[in-house]
Amino acid sequence: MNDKFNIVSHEFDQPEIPTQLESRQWDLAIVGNPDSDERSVVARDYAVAHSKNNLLLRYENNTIYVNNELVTRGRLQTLVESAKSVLIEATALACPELLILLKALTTRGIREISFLYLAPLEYRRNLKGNLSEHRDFDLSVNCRYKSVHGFMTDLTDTPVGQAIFFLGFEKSRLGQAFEQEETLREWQKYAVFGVPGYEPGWENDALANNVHHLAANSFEVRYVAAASAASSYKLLNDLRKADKTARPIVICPLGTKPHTIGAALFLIEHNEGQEATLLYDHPNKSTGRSSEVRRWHLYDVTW
Amino acid sequence: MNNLGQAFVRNRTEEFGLDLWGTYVLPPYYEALGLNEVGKSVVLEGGRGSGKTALLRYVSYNSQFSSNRNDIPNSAFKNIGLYLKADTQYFSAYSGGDIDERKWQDIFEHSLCLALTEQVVGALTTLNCSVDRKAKYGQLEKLDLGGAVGGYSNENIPSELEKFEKWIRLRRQELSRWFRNVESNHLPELFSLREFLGAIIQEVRSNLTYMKDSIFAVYIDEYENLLDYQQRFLNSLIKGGEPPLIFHVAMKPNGMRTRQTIGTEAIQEVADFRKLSLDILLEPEFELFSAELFFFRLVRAGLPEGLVPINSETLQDESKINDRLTNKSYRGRLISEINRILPGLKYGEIATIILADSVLSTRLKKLIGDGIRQQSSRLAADKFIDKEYPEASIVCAALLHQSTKTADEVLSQFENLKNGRPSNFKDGDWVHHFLVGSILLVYFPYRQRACPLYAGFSAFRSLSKTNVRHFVELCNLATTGLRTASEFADFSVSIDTQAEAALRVSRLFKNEVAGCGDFGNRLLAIVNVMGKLYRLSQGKPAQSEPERTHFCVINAAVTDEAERVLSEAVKWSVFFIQDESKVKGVRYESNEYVLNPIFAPFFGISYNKGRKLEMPGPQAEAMLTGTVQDYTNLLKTYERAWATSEDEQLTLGLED
Repeated sequence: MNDKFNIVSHEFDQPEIPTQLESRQWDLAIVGNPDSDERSVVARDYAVAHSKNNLLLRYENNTIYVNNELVTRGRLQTLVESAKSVLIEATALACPELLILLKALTTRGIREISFLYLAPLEYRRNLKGNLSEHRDFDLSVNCRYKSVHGFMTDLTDTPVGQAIFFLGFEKSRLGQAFEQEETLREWQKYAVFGVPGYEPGWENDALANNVHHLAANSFEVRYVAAASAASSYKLLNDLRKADKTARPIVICPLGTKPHTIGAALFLIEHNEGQEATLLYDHPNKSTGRSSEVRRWHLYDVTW
Repeated sequence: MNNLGQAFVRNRTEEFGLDLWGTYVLPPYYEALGLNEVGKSVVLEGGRGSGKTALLRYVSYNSQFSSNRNDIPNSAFKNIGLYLKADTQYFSAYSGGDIDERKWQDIFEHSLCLALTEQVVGALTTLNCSVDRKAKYGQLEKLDLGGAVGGYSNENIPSELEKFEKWIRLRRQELSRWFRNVESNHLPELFSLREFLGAIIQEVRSNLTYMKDSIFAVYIDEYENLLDYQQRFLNSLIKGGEPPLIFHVAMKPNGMRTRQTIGTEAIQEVADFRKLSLDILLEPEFELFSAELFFFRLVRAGLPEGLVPINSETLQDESKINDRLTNKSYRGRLISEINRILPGLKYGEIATIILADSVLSTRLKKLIGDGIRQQSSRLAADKFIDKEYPEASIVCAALLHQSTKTADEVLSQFENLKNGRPSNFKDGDWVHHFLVGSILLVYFPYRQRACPLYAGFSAFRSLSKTNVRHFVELCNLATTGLRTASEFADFSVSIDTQAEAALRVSRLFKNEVAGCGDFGNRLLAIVNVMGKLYRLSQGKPAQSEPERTHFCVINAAVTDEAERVLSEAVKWSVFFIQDESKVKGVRYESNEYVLNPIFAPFFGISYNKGRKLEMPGPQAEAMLTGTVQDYTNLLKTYERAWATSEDEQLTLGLED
């Protein structure tokens, strides 16, 4: 059986709005709060300018807010149902928000969904001195793994299955997952790295910062281009199909945004009956953010 | 072929599943817990790896009624344990949306009710898991479960056990389905835990003669993971618990954030619950327990029982615990056999190795020479080194840097010792006070050479404190060379292999700290800064404050934010609290916080509790809540304060 979603990727290696995107129009844009991040301000402005309507979405403490008002999932569906084409500004939206949106859009039969993502020029890394010092003195507050309504499962009560981790360069996130969800140690585990990275060498940080967990917890390692939503989506479907015993799947998207988009599409496709569920730690937006734009990515998704 | 090297691979209870029958070594304190007797709630507190989860799984029906258990004694029916683990990521989802906290509490209660009802059914089906068991116990057809709880639902609830189990599963799926579209206006039917579960238990007790006097004991593991309202709800169950339904919880230290119930009252220790600390209970007998566990694991991996000084069945027999504790010849054989396999060196033997090793003895000579030079003495370094007196020779490296002693004095005491006259090396306890510090000082620059002080069963025990997981991992990395039973009689792990294993385990568990709770990154930074501070202190040639591994805060208490970080550090066993805070005269002095000894090999420091570091309030504040720059400044401050007058620079050299 073919995979549900068809993903066409467009990539523009420039900080300015690409001419090919100037003529694009959507019925509805859904944007996140850009905060002070220049990159997501540029993305938000583009999304708003190129759609007839727009909604500001925020997910906080298991609660959805649209234009700063609390809404239920049912109300969210009503708000989006009249659109035929929707642009999701994914630079500022995180995984739970993408999932909630995709759920609402697919439930209402909206079949033209685009994701915009602006890749950063360089991530702000608190690098002082050498890398190992940085790794020893990261003082950011850890974030707990907390379920998202609709994509949750009680892992203590779930049969052993496949756990697929998309990894970025933060050191503690994977460790925290295993500390919090000890039962995952018994699962079949995959670590997915963004290779090739956005920039040569960025993947080294991700590998270096996670390597001791990989060794200690017997991971299988997979590489998917950092900017490819389609490849991460395909990888997940391939892993699922390869498992003839149809065990449960847990997806932990801690890697690049395009990987998260692919993971979100997979979760939407296979979440019925809780075949695939999410493991996510809701990081603070400020950590590891960058400001300037390096490259534009647009992913057109149809189904 | 069995591979004995695999004996210690699994170091977490989670890896053994819910049924621990046949794999659980009863801890020496088991009877003291009185879990089989109590009609009152117990709060089990224990740091990481202290055995909380294993204990709870052992007392739960999955183990007690295990299909692997041949004869189930009547005593196993006295308390029927129902086990639930509070998964943070799952239960944290019980909040938000358009639903207020009061309603979420009902939903949480409902979820708990379904899970525990499923556990009661599980206890019945596990007990009656075979034809023989059914013949002996059975009578399940007498149960009318639907009739017992029918009044709580608008639905027709099946009465027969198998169908009832399916019905409960459907209710759980219904709740899961609701979570896919959380909205207050189409909530499923919610059950009251005490009423619903109480009715089920009543039905079971009334109809199954073998359970007529049973008490159902609920064990909630990782209570600290629950949201505040969820803790309050469980506190209410603790307060209102009475036979036949009692609630117990297990948690890390400082895991109970609130003592409030959902009513106006709070729960009180003693009146409402007994608090038991597994670390405190385990500490006095950790030597015995860890040695027993060591051989038990080897037997489980295939080593014939005749080759080891334990009997697996005895270790699992509640009635034999006292024998294990009191039989001196058993203890003697056990300890002597584990010392054969994991031999350690006496301090004097390590001193001899240092004198015989070209690199280490050169380093010693340099330390001694530097000390003599500082005193402007013209004595030769060789005069302070005598292979017949290795311990005293090593200690000279420190003594000659101490401003209170002259080189002539030290030499004269050394001569006294050699000539059998009274000498401060012995009578003045110089060797006693300074030997460990001086050995570490000699090894200080050579991080690639793990110090033999970290080798041996006794060292492994000290490094683990009461952490079973740490001990098992030390054994795992040390015994990788063991393959078959035929090798066992002559098998002994070399000192170097053990010391290297200690270093690797130390690094492994240090790295793990980053994942410890909300402040994991911060706690790792604190381990690093304190480890480096103690390394600086222990790297001072004079050894004026030997074996410093703990601190207290003096003069001013730290802020609430810093207290929170400290509390987390204790919760995750980064620090252990020893003496309570006090006011000495007019001076404030906080609790004493000891760095977890498992980190000692990584930093090349002592794992003993030596002299205390007194940190003024502002410095402690910086250590607990500061920025990276504050950390650098703190280390520099101490580096300057402890600087030696000699040329030798203290090099931390601690990169991974």
